[in-house]
Amino acid sequence: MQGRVLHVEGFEGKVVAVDMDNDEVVASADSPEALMRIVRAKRIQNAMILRVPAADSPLRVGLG
Amino acid sequence: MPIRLGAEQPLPTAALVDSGSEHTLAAGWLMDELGIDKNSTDRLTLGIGGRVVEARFAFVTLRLHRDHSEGGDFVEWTTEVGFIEPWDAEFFVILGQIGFFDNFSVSMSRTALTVHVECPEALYYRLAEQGL
Repeated sequence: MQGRVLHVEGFEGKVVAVDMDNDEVVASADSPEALMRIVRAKRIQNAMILRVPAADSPLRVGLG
Repeated sequence: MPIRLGAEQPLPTAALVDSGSEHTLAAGWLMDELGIDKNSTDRLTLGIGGRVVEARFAFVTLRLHRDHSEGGDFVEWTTEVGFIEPWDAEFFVILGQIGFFDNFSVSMSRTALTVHVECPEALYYRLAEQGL
């Protein structure tokens, strides 16, 4: 059993698509909507979408 | 964990498993992705992250794959999801009590960097074997 470590260094503040096999960024954009346009145009598959926190973002410790 | 909302969504989004959230919630931009009419949704005021927001609820089919990759086995279920705008978190879905924990039992380990999701019956059987 092994956890995941995403390789998102250099993409701080961006919305990215991360390959689900090697956890590398395969596409990035400034907004989810822009990223989805790239995903559709390039027909990217087997990736997960997330936002990489900006470098100066405070550590998120909860939502409540 | 990666989770896909609706068969039309081309890629899954990162989701936070949050037992402290009463509802399953998602970023508002996903409504457009899924083709949900905002005017046909039920609205509910929620407190989240220290602010008061209005969530638009709609029924959505969620898909969870057994493995990280998109191939192989998966489970789908339909539940009510509340969509919120704006959304600034790094994940785009919150898997809460209604919509996730009412369908699955969940084990988490920071040491193993693992979230283990299973059907509730599997947990019941393990507990019964231990006489609990």
